Amino acid sequence: MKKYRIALKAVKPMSTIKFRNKASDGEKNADSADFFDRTADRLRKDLSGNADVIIRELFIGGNENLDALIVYLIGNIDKKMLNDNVIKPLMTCSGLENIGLSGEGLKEHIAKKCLQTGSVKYQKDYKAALQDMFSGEGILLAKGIEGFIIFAVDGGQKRQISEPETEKRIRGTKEGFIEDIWVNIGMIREFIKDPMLKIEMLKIGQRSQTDVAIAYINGLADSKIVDEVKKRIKKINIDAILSSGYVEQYIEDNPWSVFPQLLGTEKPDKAAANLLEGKLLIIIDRTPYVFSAPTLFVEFFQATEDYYEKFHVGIISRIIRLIAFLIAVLGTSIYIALTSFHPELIPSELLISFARLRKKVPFPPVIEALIMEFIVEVLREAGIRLPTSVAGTLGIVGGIILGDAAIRSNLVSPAMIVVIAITTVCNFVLPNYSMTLSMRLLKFFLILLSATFGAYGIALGLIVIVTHLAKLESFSVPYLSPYAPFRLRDMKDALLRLPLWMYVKRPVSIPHIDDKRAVNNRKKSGTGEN
Amino acid sequence: MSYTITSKQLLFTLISSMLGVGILSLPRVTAEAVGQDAWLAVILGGIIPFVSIWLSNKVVSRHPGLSFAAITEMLAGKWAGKLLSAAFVIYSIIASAAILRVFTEVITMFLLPRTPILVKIMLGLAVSAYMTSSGIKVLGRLNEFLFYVLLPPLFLSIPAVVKFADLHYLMPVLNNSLTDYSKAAFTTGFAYSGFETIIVFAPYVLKKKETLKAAVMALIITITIYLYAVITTITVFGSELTQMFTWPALRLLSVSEIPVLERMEFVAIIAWIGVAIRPASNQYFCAGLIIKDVFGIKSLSKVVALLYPIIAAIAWYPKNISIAIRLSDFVGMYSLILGTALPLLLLGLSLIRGKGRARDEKNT
Amino acid sequence: MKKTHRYILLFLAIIINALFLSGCWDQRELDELVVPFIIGYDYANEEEKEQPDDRYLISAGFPVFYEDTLKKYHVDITSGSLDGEVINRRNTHFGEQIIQGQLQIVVLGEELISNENIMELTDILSRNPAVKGAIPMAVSAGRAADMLNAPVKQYPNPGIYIQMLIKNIRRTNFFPTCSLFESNRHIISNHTAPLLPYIVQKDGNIMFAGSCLLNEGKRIEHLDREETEIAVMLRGIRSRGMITFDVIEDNKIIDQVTFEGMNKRKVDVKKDGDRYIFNILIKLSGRLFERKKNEPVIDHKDFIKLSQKSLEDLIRKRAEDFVAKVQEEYGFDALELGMEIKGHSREKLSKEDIDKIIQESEINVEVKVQIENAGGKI
Repeated sequence: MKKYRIALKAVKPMSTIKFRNKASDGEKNADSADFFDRTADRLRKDLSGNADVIIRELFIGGNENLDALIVYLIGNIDKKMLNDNVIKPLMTCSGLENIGLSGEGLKEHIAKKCLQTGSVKYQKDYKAALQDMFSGEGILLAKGIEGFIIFAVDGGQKRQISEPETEKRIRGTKEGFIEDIWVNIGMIREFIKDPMLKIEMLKIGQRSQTDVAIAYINGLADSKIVDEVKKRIKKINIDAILSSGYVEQYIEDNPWSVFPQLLGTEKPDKAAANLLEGKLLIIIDRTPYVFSAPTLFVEFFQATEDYYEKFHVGIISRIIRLIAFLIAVLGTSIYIALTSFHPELIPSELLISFARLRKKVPFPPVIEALIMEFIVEVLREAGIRLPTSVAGTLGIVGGIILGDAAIRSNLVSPAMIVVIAITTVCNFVLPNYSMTLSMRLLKFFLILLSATFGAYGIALGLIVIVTHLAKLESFSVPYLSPYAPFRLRDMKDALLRLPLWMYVKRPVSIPHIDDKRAVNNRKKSGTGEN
Repeated sequence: MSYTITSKQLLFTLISSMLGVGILSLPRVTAEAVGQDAWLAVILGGIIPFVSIWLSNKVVSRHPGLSFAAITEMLAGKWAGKLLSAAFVIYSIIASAAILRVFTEVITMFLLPRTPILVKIMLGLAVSAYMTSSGIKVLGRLNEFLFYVLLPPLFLSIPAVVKFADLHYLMPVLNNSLTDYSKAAFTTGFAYSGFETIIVFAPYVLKKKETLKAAVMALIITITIYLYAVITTITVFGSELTQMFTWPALRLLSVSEIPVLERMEFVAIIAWIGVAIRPASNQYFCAGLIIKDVFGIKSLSKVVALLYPIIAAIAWYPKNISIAIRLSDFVGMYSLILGTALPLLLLGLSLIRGKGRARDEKNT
Repeated sequence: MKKTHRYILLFLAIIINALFLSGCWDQRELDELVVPFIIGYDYANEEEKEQPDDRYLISAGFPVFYEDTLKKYHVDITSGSLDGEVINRRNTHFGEQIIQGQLQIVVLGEELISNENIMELTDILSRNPAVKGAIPMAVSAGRAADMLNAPVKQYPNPGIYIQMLIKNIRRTNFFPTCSLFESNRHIISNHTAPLLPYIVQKDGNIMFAGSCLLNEGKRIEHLDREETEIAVMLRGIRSRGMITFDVIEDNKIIDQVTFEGMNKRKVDVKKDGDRYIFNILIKLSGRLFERKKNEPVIDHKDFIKLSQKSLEDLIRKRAEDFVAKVQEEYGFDALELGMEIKGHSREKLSKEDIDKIIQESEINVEVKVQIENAGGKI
């Protein structure tokens, strides 16, 4: 409870919120009975417009002198639990005659003998208690007690744990995070049962009061980074956190960069793997996306499936992803540079066929490329919002018929369509979705450069991109490690995916405290006899 | 010091400063001087840089924690020190401009014949300015990373040309007079220009003890790469034919026939853009850093922006390629003189005045 | 601070706009290019000269990119007093730009190359960085313009025909190929005469008819097939070919055999006082390709030894004849010994010195043949 109060103080005081007409800090209490009546009136007045707030009056233990009120939100609580574990025991509570009708004794008795819920809190502050009620808990106001008793009867409809759309696994867990933060935290704890795994909670957002949790393994994660992350999150001063994207954009190191600086995932096994390397997880209520910090550029090329299959597959997959990344970013610009600026570079037979095809097309290659890219982008955007039934047909229409007709009417040349198709497909090879968006932006940048300056432009553009990447730091960890400050030990994972039993120590690039990760038993006992 | 680089990054920064535009014309220059013993000239040319590196390292290690501007001011007094720093700054500016200009000439010849020179210079300089204004940490990382990335293409060209190579072109050995060799060593020394930047970069290295080793390693690696270029060129072309081409190293790649990439040399040029822009950036950075230290300006980007039009103007000044090559030679000579005289002078002053360590006074 | 930022951004915006909007100077449309693949050099006849003081006639063959033209391949013939002027004139024939970077073959007319130095003729190609140094060159019997216009039967155009010929000839015959940079290297660095292939055109076929030696860049003579093969072996140009010869035992011809294999050479240089002694060792290794007589020999291992010895004798005799011809008739270095001499001597030698050394030295030829197998039949 103490942590709650500290977190709230960091946020601007809620004195501006409308329904507090009689806002005054720290009410000095008068008589207890007075307190009850006054507060009850105040409650009824403040909550008058809300149809989903239920104020339930009852007598505790059947004693008509013990008036009590229970206030709760009907949509956010578990009705059965409320009826069985709160209202019923309160009404049938016994042993009240011995205690007396007021004061600490009554409070203790009710809380510890009558209320049968999992968590019970005391709250003196009216505003804080009201906030708790709006956060989905129930509050009990009783005559004779100065203050509120707050109990948790969580409920409400939640989504089932299902496989997320964008990250599918063949061989790993098929569970994905859901919107409820406690369920998510529970899923992570199931992977890492270490008592050193710490979860710290903050509430961010004035009107949304969203729970934001920071998870890390104490003794593994670097404390400086933990402090830095907490500092940045606490600095966020915003109306509401509607999605984890908001948090990400507030705490990134360089918001102007096109590259994502936090790695998001919907899968608990990937989140757990990140924790084990010494990183922090940022979990936000109402969003199934969980972020890890600090992040390196190479992580966007790594998929967890690499680690679950044999390492040969991992090595080849990494190499293919790297080549596909380069093709997706450079493909169109190289084609434009070659056909517009450097015809000597094209092999001779290809030159003849390209030239013959280009003879029929009226536009210069740049315009062609931009038109085609625009069409692809439009198809993509439209495809997101279409219902699935229509999307299939539209795919056929857009892709095949439109493309074919475009070639026949000599609007674009077939070579250009091939190039655009290959680059678009290569765009989606990376396992992480945020990086594909950056790749599209880089592609356009390079196309513009190559259209004006040919291969020189592409080379300079690449150098600018590499410089930008080298400059980027994610929570003071260089973004391009382990390539830029070259760390040979990390190359086992960054460049290739060497066998798991070779990963004896944690990667150097992410600051951590405890180095040893596993013991290589294969080396001692020869080939794995078990 | 608030920013630091590792000793490995110092190594790569030095290599990048030296290995720039010199490699392209090196076979021609050495063949003109000593004919088939060009490879010997390459090795001999490394003597003066070696001495200079040793001297510079000595000076820097006697005054740990002080930047170059601070050392000169401390040893030579306020105004003489500023004068020495100014000499270095002028050298860096002209060197950066000369490198940029020769590099642009090569681009003009191969890739973009008709674009105006000023546009190409401004583009290249803009990218260089971006690299420079990021600071020394990023520059160190970039030098290291780009070196690893761009090195393999250099070695992949071996199989293509090795079938035309003939070792007879390197014989007979030691056929020239001593004066020829010393002259060759001197002119080849121009190709190593960039070694004197160690005196600016060395104070920022994290582990002071490894500086000398890193610098010597850098020189050895550069000598090896130059040897490789010179030997492959001369064994394929012969020393007389090498003197006919302006840039024999590039002509070498056009000799081979590879099935897919028909024109190796264009690909090499494109990779070489990444190689040649680094010494321009490193020199640009030295100039900017010293000015920043001398005048106490807080932000490096402002100095970089200020130097941009100056360097662009100097790079644009030569009207044709022979003047550009003469400018580059002038820079080379200046580098040899500055690289030996300046550390020698500073070392002498340091020995006279005694070691001075930087505590809290010079804190950048 | 904000104001300075604004000014800086404005400045940058102006610069960027100026750069990007002022035009892409180097951009050219791919289809608006003329890409010659093959070039032929000749003297200009009186009726072909456009101006009275024209000297050269340069023909260029290139593919046509438009679809509905009569021919897919076009040869353009222009005359001029210097190569550059020819190109200048040629530009007036076309609406498109000519790029030289895709040149594949250079054909030199026989009359032209006998009187002019090849280095001067191809200077424009060496100077252009886009032209590759590995362009093969050939000398044509008659005029190069006729060669480029020849009607050929099984190829779309003569350009491709000649290109395929030259590309493959070293894998099927002991014939030489010489590229642009190799000829430059021979003339400048080695003081040797380059050996260029010689092609003729007959009945819709273009074929190799021998080779030409160029002394000081000018053609001296054309060697016929036999001499070409010997020259190739003596010069050590690695190729793979076939030789048909008689197997001789005790001065009696017992069989005829075709040998297929590769050649290699090794040169040993010794100095005896002022005189040089060269020992050239020609190594041939390959297999038995064909035998005329169809009866099995009792001990066929001997037969192979016999064939080897016969071939060795044959080649040695021909080689010694050729060497004698070089030393007495030609008087210049036709055997690629120049670089060995230069590698060996401490003095700086000029071309005359090397010529003199070749004439005066003793050149011995040794041949070693190794027949590794005899195919599937005994």
